[in-house]
Amino acid sequence: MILKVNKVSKEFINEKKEKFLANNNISFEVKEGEVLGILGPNGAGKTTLLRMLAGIMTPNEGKITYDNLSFPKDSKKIKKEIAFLSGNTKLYKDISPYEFLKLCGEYYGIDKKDLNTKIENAIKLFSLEEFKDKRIEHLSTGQLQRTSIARCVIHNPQVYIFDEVTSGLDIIASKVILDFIKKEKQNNKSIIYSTHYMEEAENICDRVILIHKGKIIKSGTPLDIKEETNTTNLRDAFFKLIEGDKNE
Amino acid sequence: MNNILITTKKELRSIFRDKKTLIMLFVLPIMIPVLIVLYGFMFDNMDNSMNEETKIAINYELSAIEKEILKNNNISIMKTTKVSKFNNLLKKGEIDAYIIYEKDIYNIYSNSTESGSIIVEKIASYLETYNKYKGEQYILKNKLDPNKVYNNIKYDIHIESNTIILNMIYSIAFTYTIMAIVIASSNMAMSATATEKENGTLETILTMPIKTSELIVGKHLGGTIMSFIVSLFSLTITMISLLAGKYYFTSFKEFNINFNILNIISSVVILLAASILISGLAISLTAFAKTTKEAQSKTQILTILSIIPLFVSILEVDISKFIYYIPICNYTEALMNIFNNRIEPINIIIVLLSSIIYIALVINIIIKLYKEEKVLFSN
Repeated sequence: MILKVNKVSKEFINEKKEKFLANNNISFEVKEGEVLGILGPNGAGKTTLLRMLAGIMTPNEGKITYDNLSFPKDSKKIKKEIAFLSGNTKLYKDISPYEFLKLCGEYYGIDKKDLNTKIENAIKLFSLEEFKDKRIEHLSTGQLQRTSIARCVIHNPQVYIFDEVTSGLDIIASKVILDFIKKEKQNNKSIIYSTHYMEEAENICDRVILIHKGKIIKSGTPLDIKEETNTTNLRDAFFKLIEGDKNE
Repeated sequence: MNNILITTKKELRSIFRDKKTLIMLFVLPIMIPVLIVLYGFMFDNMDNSMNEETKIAINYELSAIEKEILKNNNISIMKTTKVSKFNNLLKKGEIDAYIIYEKDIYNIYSNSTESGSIIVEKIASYLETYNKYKGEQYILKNKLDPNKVYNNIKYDIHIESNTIILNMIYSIAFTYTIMAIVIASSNMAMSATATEKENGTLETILTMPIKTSELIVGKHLGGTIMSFIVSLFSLTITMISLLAGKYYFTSFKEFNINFNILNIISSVVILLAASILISGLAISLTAFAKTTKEAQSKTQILTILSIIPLFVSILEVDISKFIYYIPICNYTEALMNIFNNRIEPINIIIVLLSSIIYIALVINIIIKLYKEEKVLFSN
């Protein structure tokens, strides 16, 4: 499934009735089996962009397509092919991981006969066995994160959209996610991955997009960007590009 | 349709697992039988006070006729001469009241309790009878016919037995029933909107293949079902308590309780309409709330509206012409009319039609509201 983002802009109006451009004329493409990193500091517009990619926000301008499907017309079809996970997508506290996975499977319209097998597979894949029947409110941060990812695989999506999913996690919990991304890349799935941890992105992403104040300031492979900016890592490259932006 | 039912199931499961909220939803209906029992004891006590012997002290000599009247009114006299002790005797409970005759006036003294006022009524009745007797004696002395003075017209009083007490009980019970719907709807709406936003679960659901209209109709349906369950429980418990009260309490014996199939079906229809509308209103009121606390304060208006019929009934204000058009207020009035066998089809039609119009408007509003990003993403 190929994701195309064409000249997308998103504007908000704050409480003082002032307009604020969160994303400005953003265009890019994600191919099958590709990991695309969306990098930028807090407030750069990453979450808004990913929410639009996931179809839970609508752009003011521009178009987002998955193959021949587009929002809002094909919203249901697209959502069945994507999985969106962010720091803001939380789990219901009063149910167990098993019940939560079942709920998600039902929303994705998975056949009742297959649903149980898919849940069991997801439970096995992310080692949820020992706490699958515990209430989610009693789970640890790592267990919560594993349950969150398990719900992303339940419908076997073609595209994963991950927004700051490793923020605040310890290295073991982060590794579970990063290993998962690597594995799904090998399965020819597309992954859009936003983070403000530049080193993490450098290790995992095929291509990256650097966003600052809602605009793409640079895109390419981590190696190309480092070469073009004459830096040794993406962090330095980002700061160099911002400086350039300021000077302009 | 499937997504609507999945959402409804999720909402109901959430509320049934929240024991604290669940208890809170059923507290108000449980208050109805408690109140009915209290009323039963209160009115029975009042009846007993009327029939019990009343002890009074007086500072004057009684005539033979007065003694007879007092005996007929079940009033006995304590023989004491010291007026200064009367008040102490009353305070100690040795007498129920006392009369001091001074300057041609009978001054009646009693305490300010409910039984005190009943005793005063009995004493006033004795003095009234004695006054009439003296009047008749004067008329006879002047060779006139007392009937021409007192009995020029004849009339009979026919009051529906205990209608006032029954109406009062209905008014409270049905107000509580509608309030129970308001509380259930408000709680469901809070968890369906503000709590989901606060907990970050709304965004999780939105990533799945579900339309906002399906999501919101599912939540509304969940709220309606829960409110309807609470209201049916409330209605059932009201009926059982009244029937049991009729059996146990003397003052309820003559209640004309009309719990027939037609009345029950009509009231169930009214409660269903109330559940649908109130649940929808609660969801639309809490749509913009960012926190559960904010949502809670926004639903207060519904509670206020649900109490209005009780105030109207206490103050005996006649707004019957308009009340059928006022959402929430009209349900209590309609339920009271149904159980008093005063059903006017036009009023029931007005209640149901206005409910359908309001429900259509509310559902339309909430679907539109939930398409707005500022409702979905409070941050």
